[in-house]
Amino acid sequence: MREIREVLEVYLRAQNVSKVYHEGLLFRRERCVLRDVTVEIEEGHTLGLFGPSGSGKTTLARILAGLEHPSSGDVIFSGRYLRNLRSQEYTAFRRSVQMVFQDPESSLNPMKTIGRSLREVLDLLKIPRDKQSRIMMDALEGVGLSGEVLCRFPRQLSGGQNQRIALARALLLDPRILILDEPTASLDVSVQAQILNLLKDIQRRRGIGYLYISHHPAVMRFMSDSVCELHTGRVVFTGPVEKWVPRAVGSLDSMHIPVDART
Amino acid sequence: MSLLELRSLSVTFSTPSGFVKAASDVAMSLEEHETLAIVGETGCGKSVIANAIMRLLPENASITGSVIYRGMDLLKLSEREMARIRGREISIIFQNPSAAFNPVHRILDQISEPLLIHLGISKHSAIDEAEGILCALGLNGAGRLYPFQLSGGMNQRAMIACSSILRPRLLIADEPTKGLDHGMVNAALELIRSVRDESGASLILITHDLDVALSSSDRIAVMYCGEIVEMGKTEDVLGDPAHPYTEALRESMPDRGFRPIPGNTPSMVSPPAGCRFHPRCAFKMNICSRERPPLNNSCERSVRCWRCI
Repeated sequence: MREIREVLEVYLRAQNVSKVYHEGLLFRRERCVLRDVTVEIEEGHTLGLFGPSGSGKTTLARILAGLEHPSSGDVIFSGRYLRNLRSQEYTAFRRSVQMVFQDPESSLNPMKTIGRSLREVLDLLKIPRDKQSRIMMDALEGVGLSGEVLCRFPRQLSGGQNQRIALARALLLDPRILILDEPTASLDVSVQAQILNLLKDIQRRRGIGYLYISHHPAVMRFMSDSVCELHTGRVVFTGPVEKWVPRAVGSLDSMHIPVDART
Repeated sequence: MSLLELRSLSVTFSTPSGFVKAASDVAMSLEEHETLAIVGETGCGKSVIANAIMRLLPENASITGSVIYRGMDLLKLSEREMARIRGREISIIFQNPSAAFNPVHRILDQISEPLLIHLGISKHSAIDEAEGILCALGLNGAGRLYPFQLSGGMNQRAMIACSSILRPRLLIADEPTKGLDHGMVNAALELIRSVRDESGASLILITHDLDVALSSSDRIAVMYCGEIVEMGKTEDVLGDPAHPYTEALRESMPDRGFRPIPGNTPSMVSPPAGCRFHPRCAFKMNICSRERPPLNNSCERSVRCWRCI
């Protein structure tokens, strides 16, 4: 763990990453979701990942978080190839890179209280029970919630509150890179404003690097320092946000019906 | 006479944690060929009003007041009479169309079902007509598929086809743009507008997105915590909000720089006394925490705020 943390500059890079899925039971076909993508997330900066539905944004995020393996290409974390990490180093990597998903309700266990969900993380870190309450309270305070939510279940809280808890849980591990997969897509516009400002505030305080995924151009401009735009798995733009002009994203007419499904 | 008029409509749910006042004293009217937007944050009671009009609320809901549709009080009709109105006279486009469709029936069968039930025509001609409307909406070929085989946007279109196939006089669209890609929002709205104009229907558009309301409605009702706080012509209300909540909602929009409203939405079991927005309001006065402001009507604009009296 120490080896990785002591490297001065923390970054996460996908280098020439491609991903091919195989589908079909009898007639195997290949579907290329990502083609030769290179992106880099640095500490303290936000890289925005923009593109229409099905352009491969989430697949790239999952590869960067180590949840999926690329078909070719490499993921590099602070100078080390992900596929060469030993098991201890891999654990440290998984702690340093956390992910927050689109739908907060489905990323929290509905049968567990918020307190138990958070405590689970602290148990994994082998933090003694008597110190856990203090840490949990601090974490909740950091995302603007009070301690009374600890004994509630996810269904008893609003979407915005659940998303704050998902964020607090990710921050408990003190990550250096946070991957945010459309964290406000299922929230109201007014709650979205709260969460976006909270994320910026956390970044200012803790200097975390963000990969921010969204299909909303205004959100992208508000959050990112630089932008990478994907279309059907290819990078069509990468550079500072000031120079970025989004392509016309799909209309309802651009949706295709799977050909083989028509009978 | 208005097409639809809600008179002091209140909906209360009895739940294990207490009585939830989801809508209190809601009064509004809708003219023929008019589009009314209902906006507000999640849980403010927008969808409850839509479901109260359609009489689709669960059994633990108690409803008071009246819903007058073309001179009839819908709340007093028998279930059988109401079934004749649903779909034919008043129709709803549900939010989350992927979940609103029955997953084990093909799209075409589900879209032609209203024709079979309400018009009693033969299955063959119902399917023909349903195929025609799907083609018109750009979904040719999708009718033979199941809902899970279509994307969210395509299901949304099929839902619109299903709700408008009987050319109802009143169409209710409940968050029709939720969960759609930013680029598809305009396309979906355009489709709803064209369906509305073609059949000459009135539309109630429920949304949390002020941009959606601005682009497609004549009048707007802003709801907070179960009550209407401001109502009037859409351009007037959003151009120059009179209620602090409308103002705050506008400030949190992307083009205003995502300035959030302080605090959280209050609990509906025990809403704040006095004005329900006062704990989060920047212009709070003494009276605000004591007395509930009335809805003040003056020249086409109604506002529920002590500052405007």
